[in-house]
Order: sequence, then C-alpha cells, then structure tokens
Amino acid sequence: MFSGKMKKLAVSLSSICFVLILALAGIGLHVQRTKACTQSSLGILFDLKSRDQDEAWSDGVSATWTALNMKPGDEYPFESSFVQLRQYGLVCADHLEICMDYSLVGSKENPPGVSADDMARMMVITKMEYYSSSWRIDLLTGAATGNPPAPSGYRAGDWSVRDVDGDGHITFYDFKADPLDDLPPPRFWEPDSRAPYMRMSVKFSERAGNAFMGLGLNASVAYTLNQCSGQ
Amino acid sequence: MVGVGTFALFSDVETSRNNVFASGTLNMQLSNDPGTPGQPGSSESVTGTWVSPPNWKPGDYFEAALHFNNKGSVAAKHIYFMFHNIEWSGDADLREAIIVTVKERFNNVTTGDQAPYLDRHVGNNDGILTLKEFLSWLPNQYGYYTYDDQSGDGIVLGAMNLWDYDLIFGFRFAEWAGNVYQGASCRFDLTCEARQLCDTEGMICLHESQ
Repeated sequence: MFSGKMKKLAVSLSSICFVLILALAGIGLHVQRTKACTQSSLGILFDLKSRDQDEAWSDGVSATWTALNMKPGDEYPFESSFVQLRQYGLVCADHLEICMDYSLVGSKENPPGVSADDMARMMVITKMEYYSSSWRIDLLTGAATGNPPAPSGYRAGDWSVRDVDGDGHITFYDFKADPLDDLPPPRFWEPDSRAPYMRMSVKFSERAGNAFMGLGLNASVAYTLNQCSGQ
Repeated sequence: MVGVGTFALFSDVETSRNNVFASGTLNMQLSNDPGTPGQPGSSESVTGTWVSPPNWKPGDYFEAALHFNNKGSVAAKHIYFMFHNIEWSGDADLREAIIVTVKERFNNVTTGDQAPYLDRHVGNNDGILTLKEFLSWLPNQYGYYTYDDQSGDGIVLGAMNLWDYDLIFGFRFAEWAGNVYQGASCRFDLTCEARQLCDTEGMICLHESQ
C-alpha cells in the first residue's frame, strides 16, 4: 500500500519535475533566442531615416521616381534617383523589409476594365539594386557581390522579387505581391557614406495598349526596419 | 508565453511616396476644314470630306483635304489608312473613270502629286491612278500609311497640336468617260489610325520616300 502510494507520488513528482524542466528549458531557450531583443526594452531610440536625390534625411521621402507622359516601350533608368537609408539610435537592427503599394490615378474617370494591378503589370522593373559601399544585391535575381551580411532569418528568395503572375517580367505587381525581406539593415554606427541605397529602373511595357492611355500609378515603396528576426 | 509578452519588438517604417508613373495620350482629331496649319481639328470622325459637286461631268475636277491633328500628349509617327464600305452603282463602275491625285501636307510643306508613284505599286503603271486602282489595294484593312520623312524625328502628328497633317485627294472625272457613266455613283469610307509605334510591313506609303 505504502509502496504503491510512494510509487504514485514518485511518478507524480517526476512528472512535475519533468514539466518544470521542460518549462525552464523553454524559457531558457526563449531567452537565448531573444537575448538580443531584451536590450531593446531599455527604450533606446530605434529610428529609420531616409533621403533621396533631392531631399535631406527625414521620415520619408516623396516623388523619388516619377515618369510622366509615358509611351509604351519607354524606359526610365532613373540613374540619379535613389533612396538611401540610415538608422538612428543605439539599438541593433536585425533586418530590413521593402514592399510596394500603389493606386490608380489618371485622366480617365472610369477606365473600363483596367485596375491598378493591370497598370502595375505594365510597369516592368528592369533594374533594382540594394547596395552599400562594400556590397551589392541585385533585387531582381537575389545575386549578391561583396558578401552582404545576411540576417539570421534570411532564406533563399528573400532578396529578390519573384515573377508572381508568371508573365515573364518582374513588375510593380510582382513587387507588391512578393515583398523583399531579411535584407541587411542600415547600421547606426555607419556614416552616410556606408549607408545602403536602393535604386531602380523601370520600363512602360510595350504590351500596354490603348486601354492604358492617360492612366497613371501612384506608387509607394515602404522600408521597414526590424529589430528582431521574427518580425 | 510569459517570455514573449515581456519583450517589445521595435520597428520603424519610412516610405517613398507619390512616385507617379503616368502614361501619355494620343488623341487624333479630324476636320474637313484645313483652315490655318496648326489649328486644332474638331472631331473624332467627319463625313462628306470628298463629295463631288452637283452635276459633275467629264473633265471636272475637285479637291478637298482631310485635316489631322493630335491634341494628346504623345506624338504619332505613323497614320494608317483603311478604305472600306466601297460601293458603286449605275451602268458602269464609276471608279474606273475617276482619276485620283494624292498630295499630303506635313506641317507647312505640301508634297507633289503622288499618284504616278502609287500607280506603280497598286495600279497598271500607266501613270494614271484611277479610284478603282487606289481603293483596290488591301481594302477593309490598313493598306496605306504615311509618316513625315522630311523631319528628323519622323513625327507626323506632334503632341498638343504642335505638328499637323493634311491628306489632300483630288478627283478628276475622266474626259474620255462616255454616256455609260451618266447617273453613276460610288462611295468609300476611310478609317485613319494614328500610331506611336511603327509597324508598316505590307503597307504602302502614300508618298514616295525622299
């Protein structure tokens, strides 16, 4: 009887211990994984700033890439247009995300059957790069030179836009549908000269027919600086 | 869960806004009144540009121009032409007895008569272009085109009414036409399309290249 109770108690205690061990291990594991993040709770500034070819460092830029009166087949290298990113504050950033959004604008009040996505499919990205003074990433292929630092959450394909609709071109539509993720972030200790840039060149597709005449796309490119890999 | 709840994860977003990509427009307008070069056209379509005067008889000649301009923001390098709805009535085909002259005005320069050149391509190469020969080249499809090979950029219709164009057809009722043509008539429609891009394969230019 006693031995039976002892046996049950022993089993119960061992179960409790096992659960505790698991719980502690879990907490331990979590603390390990989020160790870098705990420092952020000190409330130190974590601020991303941007500038472009005609605007100084600020929270956001405007009209970096603009093309008016486009004709099918027109190409816009935007060789002098860029967005440069810099981090202010003392908290280490883990990675950067870049995504696109857009809306339809134009002289036609109700373009028949043409949506913002349709127009975005006509905006072919012919070149898109994210680079610093020591490395360069081709955002159309994901190919990198100069060994850019890969954040811990980096996975193959994070650094390139996929041809989501399979039309053989990387367009604004694809960029919106497949944002860029886990890019090397700007570092707060780096000077302007080493802060990363993003550039792109676009082409108004030869496939754009009369339905796209007089239409426009108001596009925005958002840069999100994240502190942790899980974000 | 406890561990997750205690950590704030920072992020910051900056955006490049108002990146506008706007396509231009190509908006050809037509007018039966050439007026002063550079004057805007008035309509998407016109009627009765070339109508023979009353009691038209052998030996009579009339000429009229169809005026083109482009109030859009994109220049056109080519205009395509399609003759269609071609009809005739009477005891004989009047088109055989109408001799055509074809001239064009690019901005302020008017070409000479291109009929002999066109006759070499679409007619019997006798130096006389009849209306029947002219209309018989690829009817119901774009068979003719024009462009401005005098200007360096080849633009025939400039944007914002900058450069315009006149298509000038003249029609002579052949002197040799006999009584069989009395009371005869014919008609055609002409559809014109301004193009920004330049695919003219299989078509004939309305003027001989300079």
